[in-house]
Amino acid sequence: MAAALVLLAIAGGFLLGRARTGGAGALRGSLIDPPLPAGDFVLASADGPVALGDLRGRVVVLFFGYTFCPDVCPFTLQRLRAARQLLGPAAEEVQVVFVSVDPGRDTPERATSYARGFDPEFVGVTGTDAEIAAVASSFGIFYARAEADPGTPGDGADDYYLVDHSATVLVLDREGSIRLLWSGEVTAEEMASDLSWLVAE
Amino acid sequence: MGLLLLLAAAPAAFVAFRPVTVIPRLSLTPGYSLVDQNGARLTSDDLKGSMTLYGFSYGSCGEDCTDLLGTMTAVEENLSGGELEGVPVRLVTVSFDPGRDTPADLAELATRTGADPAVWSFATASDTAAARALVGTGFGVWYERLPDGTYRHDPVLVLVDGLGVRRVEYRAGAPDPERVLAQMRELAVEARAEGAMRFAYEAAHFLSCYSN
Repeated sequence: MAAALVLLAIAGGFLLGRARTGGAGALRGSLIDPPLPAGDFVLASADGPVALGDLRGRVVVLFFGYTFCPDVCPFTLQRLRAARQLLGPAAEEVQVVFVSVDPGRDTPERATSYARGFDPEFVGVTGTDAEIAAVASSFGIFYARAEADPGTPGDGADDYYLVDHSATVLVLDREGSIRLLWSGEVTAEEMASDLSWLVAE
Repeated sequence: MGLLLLLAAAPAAFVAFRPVTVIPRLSLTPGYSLVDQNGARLTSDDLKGSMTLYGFSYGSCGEDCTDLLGTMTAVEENLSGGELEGVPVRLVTVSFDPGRDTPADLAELATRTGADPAVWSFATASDTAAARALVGTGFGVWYERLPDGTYRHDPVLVLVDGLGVRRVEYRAGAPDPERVLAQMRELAVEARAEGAMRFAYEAAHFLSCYSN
């Protein structure tokens, strides 16, 4: 009897686990289950303060970068735009938020216009050094001004510098909890697939 | 009717008989950029993919750090090729005294501890404010500098999985290394789980953790 229960429980667990992690296709992102509560933050955009808590009700994609970023940031934001296009009408349920980790150069206006350059629906925000440090840390994101060899971009000769930062993209569910972590290599199709799962929840 | 009863009892049996052990997912590890004992940069991203045991200390720490470092040393001694049960493991000791701990000081602490530099990093933040933000706020470790330059501090070790999620926090003094190793082995089994067992783990997290 106990053996039957255990077997049934394992089978049930298998089905439950499969149902939770995508059913039709496995999730490409790393699933955080149970969801981790994400702290709230209020950062500045060109249109005024943006509170993460106010975005509840939609799936939120958080990406940390900076406007002078040569490759990782444009690449990621382009893929996020493509992913939203693949979602069709469901894209309305997804809010992308770009958080600058370069408050020294990225003003709220700069961060907003940069994000909107990829998709008019994207939100771009920044804050003070202390605010950005706290928010990035709370989402497990590192960032640091890059050391550069003399004679290369970022050596400080003309005030231009690069910022090394996590390429991880965080996806929050409609309740504002952290559900998925995407690595820098996730494709637009994979993002759309994961997002449609979260939208459908 | 019997089948319905069996179906209803299945989740209870699952939790009771525990074919897998669930170690809760607590929170994300804070993001950081530090300098290690070789003067090289160490970031939170560098530890992704490895199970990491974090400790907090400082170069001139004496007796009150011995137990915690001892637990970490005992864990390190159980690694084989930097792995435990086929999963990469790292150890990181973060200094909360960047004002005085240079890479050379950290290197000296590492040597005194007998740490294997390939798996155990000793690192410091750029300044006292960054250290406070990371160790105090980020990791929730209370510490206070005393007039004689030593520190009073919470004895804390934090076990983090390969995704950067905090899984266990040891806050009541140096834990028994065997306990830490047992939990690391559970995390290693979870990390290696594929296919059906992967789903079983996710189901176990759902059944065991959602009540919180």
